Amino acid sequence: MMMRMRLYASGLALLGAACTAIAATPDRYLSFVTCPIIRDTELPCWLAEYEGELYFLGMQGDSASAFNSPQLKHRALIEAKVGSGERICGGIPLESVHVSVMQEIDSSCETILPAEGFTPPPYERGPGPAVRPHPAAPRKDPAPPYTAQEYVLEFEFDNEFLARRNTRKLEELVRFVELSKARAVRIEGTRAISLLSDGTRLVESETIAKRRAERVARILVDLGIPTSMIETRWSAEPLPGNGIDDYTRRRVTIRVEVGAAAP
Amino acid sequence: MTIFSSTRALVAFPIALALLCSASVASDTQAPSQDAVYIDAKQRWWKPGEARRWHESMRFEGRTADVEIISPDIDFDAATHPFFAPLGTNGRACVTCHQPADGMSLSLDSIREQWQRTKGRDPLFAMIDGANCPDAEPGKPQSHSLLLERGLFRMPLPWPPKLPEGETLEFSIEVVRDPTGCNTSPRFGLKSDNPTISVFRRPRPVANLRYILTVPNLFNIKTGVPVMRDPETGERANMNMLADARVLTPRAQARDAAKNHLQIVSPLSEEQVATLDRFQRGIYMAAVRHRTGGALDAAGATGGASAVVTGLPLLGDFIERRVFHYFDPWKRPDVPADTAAERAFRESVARGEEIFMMRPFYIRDVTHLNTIIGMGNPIKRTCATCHNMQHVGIDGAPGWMDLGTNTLPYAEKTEDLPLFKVTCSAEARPHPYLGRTIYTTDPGRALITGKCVDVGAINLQQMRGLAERAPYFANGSAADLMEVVEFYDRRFDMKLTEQEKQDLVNFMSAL
Repeated sequence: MMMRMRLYASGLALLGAACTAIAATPDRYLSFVTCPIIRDTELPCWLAEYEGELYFLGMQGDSASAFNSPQLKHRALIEAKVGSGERICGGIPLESVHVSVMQEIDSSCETILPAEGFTPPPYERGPGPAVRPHPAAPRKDPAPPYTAQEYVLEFEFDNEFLARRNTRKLEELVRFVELSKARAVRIEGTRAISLLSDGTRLVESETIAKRRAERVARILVDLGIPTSMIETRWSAEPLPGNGIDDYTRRRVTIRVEVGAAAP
Repeated sequence: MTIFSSTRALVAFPIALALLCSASVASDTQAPSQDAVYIDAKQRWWKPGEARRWHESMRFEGRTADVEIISPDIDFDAATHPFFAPLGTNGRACVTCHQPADGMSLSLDSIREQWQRTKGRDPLFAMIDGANCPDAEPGKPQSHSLLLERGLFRMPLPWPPKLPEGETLEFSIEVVRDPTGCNTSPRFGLKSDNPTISVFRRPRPVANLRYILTVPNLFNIKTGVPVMRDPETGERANMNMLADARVLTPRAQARDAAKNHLQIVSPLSEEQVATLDRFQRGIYMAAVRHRTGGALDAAGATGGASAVVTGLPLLGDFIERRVFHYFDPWKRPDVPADTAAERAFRESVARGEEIFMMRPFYIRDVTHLNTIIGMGNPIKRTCATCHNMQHVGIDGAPGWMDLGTNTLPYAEKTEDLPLFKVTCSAEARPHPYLGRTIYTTDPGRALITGKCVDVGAINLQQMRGLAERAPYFANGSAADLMEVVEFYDRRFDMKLTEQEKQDLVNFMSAL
């Protein structure tokens, strides 16, 4: 296993030296599907290889992290912009990284690179317990006058699971509905195409927009919003991709209407 | 609630104590607290309907560790109390499978002793679930082999599960191996008139429920949807009850158990349910004295149930707020002790706690841990990542996960448990680490939700009173605490030394 890792690491280094790093041009948008790689530093680094170059995705995190750590045993869709800083854990840093775990198992995605002397950047939490509990930041209720609000939930590719950042938005939305005495909640689910850097179009499944919208509607009902207030719809056609911000079109948009209905 | 003044009990009931607890006078070497009523090993089995008093504070002599139980429901006659009275038709009571001396669970040693003592006629061995199948031949050890060999009771669960509106069943199930005969029985099996899947599980401790029932978050981060509401009250529930969270509250569990384990004819009365609910919520339990290590609240340590009574159900996965902080004073050099063996044990417990809290290893392929968005697979963390609730060590999230204790390829290789083949439909998301075809001895939470992702997922158990309630894991696959440690060491390649394994065993036996 260790031998395989070393060979892999050496191979990457050679490829990196041999290739003209067109893909690695700073500010270039990258979108590719690959096996993620983990580097066994004290706090593990997540990496991914594309066109012979190794990229740094992010540090191991948790459910509150902005960076969504990938999964070995699964390929991942990586959508990001090439950064300009120093290499981290051996990889060129990426910015605005969006990771989607592909749902089918790929048992070839098993690479754990040794630390090889790399030191991970300072991070809030190491591999052990956090130092101390942080009291939750007090939530500030929205103040009147109340106007229509829009909440946007973004999803992983072909997935309707709501990450913590999304469930927090739903809690805020429910509070706003209560305070504003909203008259309607309009939910719209979409599905999208991801345009990969090699030109491939990756299309989300036909039913995912519906599943996203219906899941959000069920949750809002569970949280106390009357069914009669909720309007749910979804797009049948996938929204086009541009290889830059495709992750923003895998979404559910919820518009909360307040005040009297237009005559 | 004056829970530490049970000398009052000794004064109030001297005659009863003299009659019932004549063997409970503490010796110098087994000195229980002055406040506690000491129950020696001869009286450890609590028989349903027995004329016996329940005290505010009791210490039960253990095989490895004495168990302390503190409860605000003080000094009542247990003979008619619904937890202790045989309410059903088979002679059992709740206490049959939730023995105080066994940490409010039931040890394999106690099961075997009852079999020997009663020649298999104790209500414990009722055919409904104390046998491999109700149609097995009564009185034969082989008919009760899973109870006698692993401490397992049969849990008959309807197939297909009744799903909430809008949810669809994602898999089919086949019986691959049926050593008990129950899953292929024409009367009780999967193809009977009432299609049923029988899985076999250990009873869980009825204690420290304030921690088990705490609802830390509105949303379940493992599913991305809100935790369920108790249909009776509309209140949100923690979903950490039972191995599969099929019921959400002690009240619902009481009704379920009365029907399915006690074979009650009429439903429990509201008064009985309320009494059971109040009593169960008030029980606090922990090991308090270890055979080798002596008092677990000595030399500055704070083991025992008192700390559980006064503690709060908070997340303990922090350096400054640890899950089990009782043994920090034993980390200093020259820990006070009466003997060298006692000192060595205390030092070992302190090291074990340090490993539990601080020793990172790669946790991988665990559904509902690694699959939580943001965590990743693998994730380098410690035992306390999952066993995170202070004082009890459950996962507050709530806690069902597929650790691999009952799914291949990680589960023990055994022939005595049923084996099921689960096939996920092409439309469903597959199990994230086992794919669309899964072999399991217990599908766990999936038998309730119908979801592939839940196959094999079982709620974590609390970690108190462990020394007195072997075997471990929901399917009894670890005969002792060393087997628990060795499972984790093997499963996650922890590379523990023999000393480190023993330190973890000692630590867990002191909880």
